[in-house]
Parts: sequence; structure tokens; C-alpha cells
Amino acid sequence: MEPALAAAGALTTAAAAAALLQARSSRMAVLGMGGVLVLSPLTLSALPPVLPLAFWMVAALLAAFLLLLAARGATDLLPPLPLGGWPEGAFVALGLVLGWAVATVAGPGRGPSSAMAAGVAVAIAAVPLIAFSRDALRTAIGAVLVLDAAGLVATALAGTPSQLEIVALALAVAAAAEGSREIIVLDARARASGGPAAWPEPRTTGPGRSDAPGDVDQTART
Amino acid sequence: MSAAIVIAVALAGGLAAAWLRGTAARIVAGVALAACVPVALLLPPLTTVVVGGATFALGAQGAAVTADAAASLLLVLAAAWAIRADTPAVPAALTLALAAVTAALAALNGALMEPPPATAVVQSAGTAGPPIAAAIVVAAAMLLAPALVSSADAGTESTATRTASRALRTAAVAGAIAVVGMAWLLGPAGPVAADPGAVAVALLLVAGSVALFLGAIPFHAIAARGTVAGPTALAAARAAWLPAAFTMAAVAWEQRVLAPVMAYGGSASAPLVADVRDLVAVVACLTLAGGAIVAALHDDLRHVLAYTLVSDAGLALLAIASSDPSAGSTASYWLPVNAVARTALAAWILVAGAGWGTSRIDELDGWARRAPLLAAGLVAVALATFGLPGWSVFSLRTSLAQAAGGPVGTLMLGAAWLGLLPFLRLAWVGLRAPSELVGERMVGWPAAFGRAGGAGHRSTGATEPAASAARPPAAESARPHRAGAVRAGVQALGTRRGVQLLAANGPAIGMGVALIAGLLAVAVSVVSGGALGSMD
Repeated sequence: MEPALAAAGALTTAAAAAALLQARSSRMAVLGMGGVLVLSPLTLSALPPVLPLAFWMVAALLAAFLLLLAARGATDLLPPLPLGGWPEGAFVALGLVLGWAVATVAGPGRGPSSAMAAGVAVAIAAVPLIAFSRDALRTAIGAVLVLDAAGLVATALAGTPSQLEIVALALAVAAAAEGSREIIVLDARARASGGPAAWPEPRTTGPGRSDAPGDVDQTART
Repeated sequence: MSAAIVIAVALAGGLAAAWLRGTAARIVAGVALAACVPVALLLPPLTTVVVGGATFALGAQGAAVTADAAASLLLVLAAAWAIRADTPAVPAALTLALAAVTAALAALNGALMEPPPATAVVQSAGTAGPPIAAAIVVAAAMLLAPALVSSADAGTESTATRTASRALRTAAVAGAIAVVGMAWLLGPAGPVAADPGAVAVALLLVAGSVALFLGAIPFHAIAARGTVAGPTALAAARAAWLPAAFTMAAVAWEQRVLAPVMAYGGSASAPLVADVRDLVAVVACLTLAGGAIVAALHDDLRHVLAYTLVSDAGLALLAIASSDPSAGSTASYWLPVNAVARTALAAWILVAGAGWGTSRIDELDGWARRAPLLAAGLVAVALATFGLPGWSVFSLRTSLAQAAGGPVGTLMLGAAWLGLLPFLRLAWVGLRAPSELVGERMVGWPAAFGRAGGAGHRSTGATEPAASAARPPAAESARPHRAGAVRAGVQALGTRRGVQLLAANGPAIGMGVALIAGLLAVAVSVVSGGALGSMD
């Protein structure tokens, strides 16, 4: 693949990662995650063979579908991220630059630098979701993203992985989504039966930024 | 092909058990686990199947590990069934865990046979196996995380859900770190000549991922909460077998990538690498000693199991920390043997807790006097875990503890035997005068013998919520059976009476199963321990 195309792939992957951090709707966040997963192979200098690539795409779509199913049973309004979303997005952009710089320093003899840039950006996007988010869905998305980021960084270091490595990582991504889906469903069921919530309900006022455009009907829905 | 068949049997059983419910799920999972034992042992080893360009095989040692895992997980399932302590998620989860462990071993074995890359700076074969095995194990751990919620009591679901979520993201992060760490010293053409800094970073990443996944200090709380919150029957699969497979992947990476790179680059004696090894060894020592001491001090049986498993993470980490090349091989022998022993301990704790309806050790005074089968089971588990001089498990534990070398090695040798403390405490409690709770029932004898019997099983739900399900009335009516045990058994075969007797004798059957699990573990540690686990 042309380096320019790989660079464009890295840019769009990072953009999808930054966009999902802005999403206050669970569906938009899951779609953003699906976008990151589907775009990730475009950051490679050489696309993997068709079979493992198809396996990865199916696993990515399955992961998005499973989390969409989970989101359907839970509230659609996500609580805000600690810094509100935009600063996290800016960190993702910084991660993209940092990744490229790291790949340049590492020099030749390694994998594609665009994969390193996208990998670092996606990893930075996953940090607030895994470490600071207060809801099961964002944690699930973070778990999926961190695995995707690991695959990208490993590819940037060691070159295009073997076919079975791609299949194994795709399995892990799908497993993360399925495990998360079940946890979200169990949490929703516990709430429905009157039990305490595992995570606090999203705030709809104050620093929750529920007044952001597009959030009005989401708030009303909850 | 053998690996593919075993994995297919276990996966099919797991998926069917997940789809079914109740007794049918247990039967399907039991049949699948039981079928894996002969399948693993009888099919010709080292026949391979190529998937996506990579070789996938199960060697003789891997087949032995799989057979032992299947047998020990089957015994846990039987014990849980006998005392009515399993939750709907357990049968499927046990078979899925077995499939993952087998797949990871097959990936490690198969990848070993890959030809070395022709243009590699450092020739090394099988570099793809470790990350594949790690990813498979992590996938299984994430799939099993929701099972932690399945045994939660009413009102505690939120805590259990948070614990499950933490377990899932911990597995994801550990897997991600492992995949990156294992690629750190590789280039597109194979292992690269790396400077000591890069070697130190790679070692730190892989050791960190093992520490996180296994629950070494400072990540012990996440692992321990998961073991305590989830079904005890699942603890061995989640916290012993999957970590064993993950550590074997890390050890294989150290042998296939790190060792050749260090030998080529001359960074084996670099101070930076030595510092990282020392740091990991200190964490290992703290984990080993701290886990054992906390396990001995805790008053809850499930916490004892949880911190015993945390303590094992210390020895596993030592294999990564040691610069001795033989430490990795020793660990890959010791890990499956220890997993069999820990599975037996989980079965024992499951039965002991549910037998008296409490998991509080301070309420179990005199348990050994009232339940000799259970006492024999604990002795067997202790023997399987630590062995006697001359047994393979004894020498493996000793060599692994000393692998760190120097003063840390001496400390580790002492710490490795601290794991005996929880067993000694349980034995001491069991030999005291029976408490009121223990004294009122003789749980160790079958109802058919005409003794007070297991039918008096009182489930408070303290150990396993599912155990609180009331016994069927038919079970109570079986208690005053006066015929001899053998005659009653023969007469009851295939009749409703047989089902009643089985139900009435649940605790006694559970204790028998726990004892058999212990004896299996002893057999593994004595007879086949030396043949297990080698990936070379």
C-alpha cells in the first residue's frame, strides 16, 4: 500500500477514536469504536492476506453489533468523561504525532510508522475509557480499543503479523465485546430488579455537558 | 489434528452447556470434559493442522496437560454438582477454559515447528506462538468474566458486576501489554539485535503483563476479588489454569526471543537488564510470601483460595525474573502440576464450605474429626502441592524458588514453603473440639449407612448462593434407609430411589470427589509431573 494511503488510514483511525470520545450517545460511541476497528488495517503498509483480513473485519463488526445490542437495553446517554471529551480528543491528536515521532526515532528495520502513529493514538483514546469512565459500555469500548492499539503497535514494531496472530487478536476483540455485553446486560437486569447500580447514573446537568447539541433528545429519552 | 479435536470437543460442550440449563448443561459439560481425557491421550501426538499458515499441534506433553486439566475440571464439576453449589455459568465456563488452555498449548507447540526466518538477525523459531497463546488465553479470560456475576447474592450484583468489569479490563490490558512486549524485540524479519535498554523494556512489559494477569502485588486485590466474588468451582479454571497457560506463553517468549537476542547482543550481563530482573524478583518474593501469609490469616475459605492463588503468581514471576535459562523449563513443568493441585484445593474448599453451610474457618472447629474423607482430601491436596523429598513437584518448587540466585533466592526458598501455613491452620482447626455447627451433623458419611448423614446438609448460602436451594423432599425421605449400603445401591440403580439416594448423599459424594481430586493431583505430582509442561 502507498505510504500516503497508510498515513491517511492512520489519520482517519485517530479521527474515529477522537470522535468516539466526544459521543454522549452510546450508539455513536459504539459506531466510533467499529470505525476504529475497521479502519485499523488501512494503517499497514501492506494489507494482510484476504482470509485473516476478512476474519478481522467480521470480528470488528461482530464486536460493534454485540455492544450495540447491549446499549439497546441500557440507557443511551453516556456520562461525561473526566475532562469533558474535547481535551481527551486533543490528547489523541497529540498521540498521533507522538507515534509518528517514535516510529521515526526507531528508524528502519521496523514496521510501518503509520501503524505506530495510529496505535499510540488509539491507546491514548483507550486510557480515559478504561481508567476513568464510570459506565460499563465505555469500559467495554476501552477494552476493545486497547487490544486494537496493541495489535497496531506490535505491527509497527515487528511488521505485519502472521495470519494466526491476526485471527487470535480478532478473537480477543470479539471476546472482549461479548464479555462486556453480558456484563452490561447483567447490570441492566440488576437495576431493573431494583438493585443498586454498579455505576452511577449519568448526570444530566452541570458539567455533564448534556446541553451539547444533539444531546437534547438523548436526555429526554432517559 | 489432535489439538483441533480436543478443542472442538471442549468448545462444543461449552457452547452446548451455555445454551442448555440445569442438569442438561452439567451432563453435556461433564461428557465433554470426560471425552477430552481419552481424546487427548489416545490420538497420535504431534499430528499437526495448519491454520492460516501457522502450525497448530499438541505434542505429547501438551496432551498430558490437557488430559490432566480435563480430569481435574471434571472433578470440580462433579463436586459442585454433588453439593448443589454450581451456578448456571459454571459448566460452560469450565469447558471453555479447557478449550482455551488446549488452544494456547497447541499454539506454543505448533509455532515451535515453524522454520526460522531466513533473514533474521538472530535465528529463532516459533516467535509467533507466544503472542497467539497469550491472546487466546486473554480472550477466554474476558469471556469468563461475566460468570463472576452469576453467583452473586441478591443485592450484591452491583459489586459483582464491577468486579467482573475490572476482571475483563485487567485481562484486556494484560493481553495488550503482553502483545506489545513480545513484539518489542522483533522486526519484520525476526528477532533484532537490540541494546540493553530495549531488552529491559521488553522484559519489563512481559513481566508486568504476567504480574497483572496473575494478580501479583500490587495487582493482587483485583485477582483476589474475582476469585472471592465468583463461583468457587470456576476459580481453578480462571485463576489457575488460564494464568498457567499465560505464564507458559511468557516463558516461551523468553526462551525463543529474549534469550537469543541477549546472547547475540551481549546484554545478558547489562546492569539495566539485571536491575529489571531484580525488580521482578522482589515483586515475586513479596507476592509469594505476602499471598501465603494473608491466606493463612484469613478467616474465609474463599479468601484462603484466592490468596493461595495470588501466592502462586510469585513463583511464576520468578521464572521471568531469573537469568538462569533452566528456570523457564522448570516453570513450564511446575505450572500445570500446580494447577492440578490448586484445582483439587478449589474442589476441597467448595465441598468443605457447602458441607457445613459456612465458609468461615472459625466456625469449622473439629471439621476433620467429623469428616475423615475431607481430612484425607486436604492431606492429599497438601501433598500434591508441596510433595515430599524425591517427588518431582518438590524438586520443581525448590529449583524454581532458588532460580533467582543470591540472597533473593534464599529468601524465595523460605517464602515458597510459607504456602504450607494455610494447610497447617486448616488442619489445626480441624483437629480441635468440634464447634456447635460442626458437631451437630456428620457430613462425611453417606445417608445409606444409617448415620446422621449428609441429608442433614444445611445450606445457608454463605459459601455458594446456589447451595441455598432447598433439598427436594424426596431427599429427606431417603435419610432413614436401613439396608446396607451396597444392597441399597444395587437396588436403587436406575430407579427413582437411586436419584433420591444421590440427592441425600450429596455432601458425602462431594467429599469423595474432593478426595479423588486430591489423589489425582498427587498422582500427577508424583508420576507424571516430570513429563508435564515441557514445550521443547
